[in-house]
Amino acid sequence: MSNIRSNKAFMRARHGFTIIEMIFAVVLLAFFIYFIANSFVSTKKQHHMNSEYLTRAYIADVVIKLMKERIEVNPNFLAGINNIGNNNNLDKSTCLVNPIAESINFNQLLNKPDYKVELSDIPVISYTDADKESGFYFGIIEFKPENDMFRGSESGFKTFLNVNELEKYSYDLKISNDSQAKPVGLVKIIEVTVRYNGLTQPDPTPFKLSTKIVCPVSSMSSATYEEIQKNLFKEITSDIYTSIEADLSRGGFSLSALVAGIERDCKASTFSTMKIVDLGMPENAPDRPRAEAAFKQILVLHCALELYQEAISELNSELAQIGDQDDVVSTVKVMDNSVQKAQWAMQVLEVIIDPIDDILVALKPAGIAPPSPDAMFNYQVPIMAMRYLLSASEKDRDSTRISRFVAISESLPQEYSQSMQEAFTRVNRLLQSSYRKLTPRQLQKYSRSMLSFYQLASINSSRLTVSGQRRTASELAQQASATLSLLHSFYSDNNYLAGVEFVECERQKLLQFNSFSANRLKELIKKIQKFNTLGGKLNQLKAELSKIDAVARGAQSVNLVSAPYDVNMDELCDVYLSRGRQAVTEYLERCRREYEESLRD
Amino acid sequence: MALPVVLVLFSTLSIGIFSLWIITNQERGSSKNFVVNTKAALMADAIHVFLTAQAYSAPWSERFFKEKQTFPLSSAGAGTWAGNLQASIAEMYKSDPWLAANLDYRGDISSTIKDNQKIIIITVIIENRRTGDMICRHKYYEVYKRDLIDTIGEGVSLFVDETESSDTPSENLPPELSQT
Repeated sequence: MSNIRSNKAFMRARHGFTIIEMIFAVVLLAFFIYFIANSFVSTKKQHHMNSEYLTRAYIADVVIKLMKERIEVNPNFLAGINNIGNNNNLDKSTCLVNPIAESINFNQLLNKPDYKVELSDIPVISYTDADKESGFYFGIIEFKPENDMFRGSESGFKTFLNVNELEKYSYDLKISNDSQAKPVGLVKIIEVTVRYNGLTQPDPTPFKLSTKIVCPVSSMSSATYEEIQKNLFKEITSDIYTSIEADLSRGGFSLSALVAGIERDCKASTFSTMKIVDLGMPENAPDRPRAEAAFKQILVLHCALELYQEAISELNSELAQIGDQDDVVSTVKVMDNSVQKAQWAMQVLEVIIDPIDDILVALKPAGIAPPSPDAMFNYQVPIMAMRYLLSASEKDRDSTRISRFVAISESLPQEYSQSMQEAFTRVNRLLQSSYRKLTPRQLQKYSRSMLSFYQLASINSSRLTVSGQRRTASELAQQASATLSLLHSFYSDNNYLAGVEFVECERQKLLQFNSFSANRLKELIKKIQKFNTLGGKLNQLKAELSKIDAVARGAQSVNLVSAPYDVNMDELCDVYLSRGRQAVTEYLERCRREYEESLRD
Repeated sequence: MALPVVLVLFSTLSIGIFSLWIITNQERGSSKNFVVNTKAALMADAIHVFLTAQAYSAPWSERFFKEKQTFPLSSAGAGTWAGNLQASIAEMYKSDPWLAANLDYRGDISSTIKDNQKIIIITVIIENRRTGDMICRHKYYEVYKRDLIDTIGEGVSLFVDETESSDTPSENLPPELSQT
């Protein structure tokens, strides 16, 4: 039994594959090989697709990051891209790595409302520099794999990014205004579309990445910047008006009570012109709101100037404490202090110009039209205003209110100009003495501030009334230029090309300052020109007050409306007070007759 | 006899191919994550930039976010800040349909004053439109400073990525802001 079993096992061991088994196995093997090969190929294809997709995404990400970084390092960069123009056929020879040309026109910065830059097929170009360091030009921006952005992991980066094939990619760059963000031009849309050019047909799946950036002031169009500046100045005055309202409402202040007090004060005067003041008479009813409106403007003028005086005193004390040191902290404090002083001068100027105009209108009476006796009351509002303005000032009992107002107002242009010059001098000194110690960020920030102070100190500076020693705009420009040259050498020596590019742009701005400021700083120039008109308005105010004063004292006659002869207001008021309204008519009639007789003689 | 050999061979190769497929799929997943995160982060930046610009284009006293404002608003009218923001993001969606199909946004903007500093606080949350999962939560603090040396949006700003934070968002200002 056991033999039979061992024979069967032997026979089975010797039994080969049947033909069916063979065929089945071969078919199965062929199917498996096909399936595995197919899987392998599709996996490999998938891997390639992933790799290409990822490379596209990385390039788009890198381009956007580099663009933002470049704009941060040099805020003129956007303007520089604009300078390239809409060249749709950039290639390796025309593609600019450094788009900041010397001929950049700062007057026309991104100056079109429908601003749009579209650059197509910007190539990726590999290079090796003199130190055998490899890198890439992403068209208008330079990229080094060992850049900090990837924390120095060049090998990791290369594995991920398929660096060897990078030159097969190109990208489109589109920069346009976000029309929904107001003012238009403040927000730019950056759109990058990356294409793989290693295929026989155009890339069917380009990768798109988009974001938005705030356009730096340096690259902003004049129109947009003007809009922004308008808002800036709007804010400035509203703060002062709020403080004035708070000042006036404190202690239960009442405008009508003030006017009533001045009325009583006038009635108590020894001058007849003041004694006749009576807002309670029915025929004088319109004069009460007129008087209240005039005194409201006088109070705005008073409060704004006193607020300014207090703020400047505080800022001067702070400045005295800071001292004359050249370290960063002190310089920043001085810059801040100076800006605040200049800003106070400008905002107070903005607040007081309109009230001065209104007071000037209030000081001009409608005139006396004979034979109406009521017409002499046309002088009561100007006389009340004069009485108040020529009384002793609360803050300085030796001077009149108007002389204090004039003294403070006249100091405004001087404060503005000197503050800007002080800030310029200090930041310029800091840059010259400490440029080696400052970080690139600080160097950029302070050199931009220096240029801004130069601009603010130089705009229309020739017309600013400034007492004491004052440097001319060209002297300041020379100093700024010297500092920029110093920075240029420093950046060049350290191979900090973005810094060199920034300084070159700032130099261009300095050279183009006159035309640049006329186009870009219109709003500011309008404000600063008010300093020039202030002196004329103050002189006019003083002259009008003297005239009203002389009329009130009887030292000057009053021109009559539609009549060629003059009358003496003091005498006229005397007549009214002693003999009544009818006597005024008779007096005016007598004046007419005397005038006609004088003509016959 | 041949069948087991073939099956063993097939199994071995299948395991290899399956591993390769898994790895490739993971790679694909990573690529997709990278793309989703990059696009979401840039979209959050775009919303932040838009709102910062709107904050700076009006004086502080006239800011629209004196009280905390959330977005998007279903009732946002044309010409209002919320309407403009929606229209602006709609433009992004139009230009990149992938964004429209996959990403949704929400958040809020508010303001505060600390140590005489005027601070704008913007929170942006980007979510997966299909699943509703949060992709990123970014918080931006801008110090609103405007003077004659007008530096719009170039003042001190702080960015906090709260995506990984499991805590509920804090209403307190980060300590860094008091050191500015």
